[in-house]
Amino acid sequence: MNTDDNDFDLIKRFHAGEDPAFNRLAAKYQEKIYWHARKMTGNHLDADDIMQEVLMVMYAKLKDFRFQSSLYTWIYKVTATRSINLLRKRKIKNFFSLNDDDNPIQISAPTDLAGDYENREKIAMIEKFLIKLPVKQREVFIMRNSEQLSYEEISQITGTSVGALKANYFHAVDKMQKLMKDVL
Amino acid sequence: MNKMVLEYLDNQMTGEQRLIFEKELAASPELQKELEQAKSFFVSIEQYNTRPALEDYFSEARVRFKTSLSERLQKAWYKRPIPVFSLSGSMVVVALIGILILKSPANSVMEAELKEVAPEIALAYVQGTPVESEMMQNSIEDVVELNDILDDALTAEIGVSQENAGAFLDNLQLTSDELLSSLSEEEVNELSKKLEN
Repeated sequence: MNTDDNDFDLIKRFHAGEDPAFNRLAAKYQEKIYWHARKMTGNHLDADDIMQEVLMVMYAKLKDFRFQSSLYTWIYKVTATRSINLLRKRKIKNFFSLNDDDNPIQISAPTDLAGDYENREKIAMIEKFLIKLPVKQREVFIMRNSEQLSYEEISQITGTSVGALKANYFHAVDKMQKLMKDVL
Repeated sequence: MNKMVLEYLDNQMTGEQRLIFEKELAASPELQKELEQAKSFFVSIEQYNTRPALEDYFSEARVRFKTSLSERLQKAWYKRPIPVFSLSGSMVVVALIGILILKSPANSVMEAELKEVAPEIALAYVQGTPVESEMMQNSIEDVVELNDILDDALTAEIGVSQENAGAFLDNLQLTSDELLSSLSEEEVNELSKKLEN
């Protein structure tokens, strides 16, 4: 790996006041942030908002980052918290009918990124099924499948025990397989 | 899905467990079918995980981030002393309102006035004529006076423009978005848990 892309060096350079070092970190992690948020929320607009928020948090808090955990784990924790928080707020909004949209979960935007790609329908379908999973099951399913994180890493990020994560993952896979049975 | 099948594909079995499972697998066509279905499911998920190259979007997102960051930094620079003054100004306003309410002569004689007003209202109701008692006039005057004080406090103490102070007093109701964004993470979690229960 190029030493310029090493997290430790980049953070040190950012601590020393080099803003380009932050740009490199943002470029390195923004895709992971976006796709986690996208899979959690099921739409591009929310994922874009979360990505911008997480980058803002990174910029504000990286100065205090002391390498007690890996940067990747820390960023993932911030992203996961922001995503769950947004879903909770949406749930409260829906409960009190504060939202004008009848089905806010399925927000689609004209700038939806998946729109330009061949596998658009498949992505839309899997996103639709993912949204049907309870949040905790969805989270572990995404982290385990998309990010290939180990249960120990997921436990560090979410604060949930490995046993509970395994149980959640099993239920998530089982439900997803049942949901996708007819379309596979 | 069979739990053993998932553990097998998820590499969560020990060497010994794997051997036992593979023996079972060789002897069970049903288990073989389940394994094939599970494999095909994970292939589909893998296709979903293949991220399209979105270089344009991500570089544009970084530009947007830089713009909003510089705007925030600029605002933070200008507004740095304002929260301190705003907080102290608000506390002064709250204290003044509290003192005004406690010291209000209307407050101390309210009970007596209510006794006077009640028969008046009852009589007016029977006669079908509107009544505007002295206490009602006082209340309207009090509200006007309170609004003037708040208006002055907002403009003089906190530095809000005359126009915005008026708008603030006219429209104290928060929108749903403002209300939710004003909640802390703990409050959101608490509310969410209560809703789930």
